[in-house]
Amino acid sequence: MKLTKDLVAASAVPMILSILEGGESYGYAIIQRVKELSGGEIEWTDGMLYPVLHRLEQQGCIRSSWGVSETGRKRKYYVLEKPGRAVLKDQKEQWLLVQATLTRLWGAQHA
Amino acid sequence: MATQLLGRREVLDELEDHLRDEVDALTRAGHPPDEAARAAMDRLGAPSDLGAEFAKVPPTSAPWLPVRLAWVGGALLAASMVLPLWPKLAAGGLASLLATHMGLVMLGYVSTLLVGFLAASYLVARLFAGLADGQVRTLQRAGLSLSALAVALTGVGVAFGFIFCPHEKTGWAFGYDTREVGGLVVLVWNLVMLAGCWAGRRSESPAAMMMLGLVGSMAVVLGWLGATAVEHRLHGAPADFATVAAVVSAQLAVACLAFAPAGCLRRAGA
Repeated sequence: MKLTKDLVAASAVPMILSILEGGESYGYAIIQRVKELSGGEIEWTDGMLYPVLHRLEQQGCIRSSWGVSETGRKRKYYVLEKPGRAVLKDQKEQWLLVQATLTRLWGAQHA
Repeated sequence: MATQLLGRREVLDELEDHLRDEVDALTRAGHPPDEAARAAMDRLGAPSDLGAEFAKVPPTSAPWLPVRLAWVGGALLAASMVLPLWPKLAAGGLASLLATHMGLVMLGYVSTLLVGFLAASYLVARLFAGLADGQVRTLQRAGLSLSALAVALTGVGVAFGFIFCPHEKTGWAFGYDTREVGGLVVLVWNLVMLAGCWAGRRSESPAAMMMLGLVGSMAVVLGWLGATAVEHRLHGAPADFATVAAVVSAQLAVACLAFAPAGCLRRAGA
């Protein structure tokens, strides 16, 4: 299923922050996690994840550090920071509200 | 894409790591290597789109301790060198134009030495983890600011020595005192350093700018301490060439660090 550009953009931040809430990760792993959780339905243009990660870091939501991968390559890892947890909490409330409202609407329409 | 992301070395490193992971995964899934590479590049997105997205997230400056030390330490050093002139000036023991000349030139020398300090710090840091993109930007801005300060202060100070101080009955450039000639040489190098810092203010690596700064600090040591030693020798007084030689040798040794491979002292896994 191809999501609209606006929906991909809007959902990227809560998805990234939620994945990082589970622990440190890196760009490629984040993309694979989203594909896995969505059953392959959500596919991001891989490169577009990185500007979002950099913007989140500038905002203080996440923090990066360079490490070494299993193959010995330089790899940039990201962790969730305290402001990011607050943003995630806010995003969760908004998305759950939208989901609940749409569920009631569509449930009512099918009733 | 490399052109569009010029100066964003960390971004290019991150994208390269991503591409290699993708190529590895596709190769493991049975795709031939060149097909895997093409597919990975396609999935990454069009370079122009990627460049445009990153242009919306410009790199920000990140603090770097040596730059903070340079500004704070420099201010304290400058105050300790210039403030002692004030009592002599107040007591009438030092002509005002001469005091202004000495104070400005010393402040200009301090600024040049601070660029040398940043250069030495950078050359040492690159042997370990190196600097993040934001820290490179902070270093480049500090190098440019200090170079401009060095040119302004040394320039006005030297002008006082060459133009105004003859009024103090010492003759042009204090009778062509070696230290005044040294000051002129430092000023010329400061102009070269400033031009180099301006040209390299957005380059990916501050290495060239820092080498100019290191040579500038050597010029100050030679033009100040060295010239003082020569002046003393010319007047039959004891001259300390050994200290000058030791300081310049130490600066040359630091400059040689530029030939060591970057990251050669980085801890494994860091």
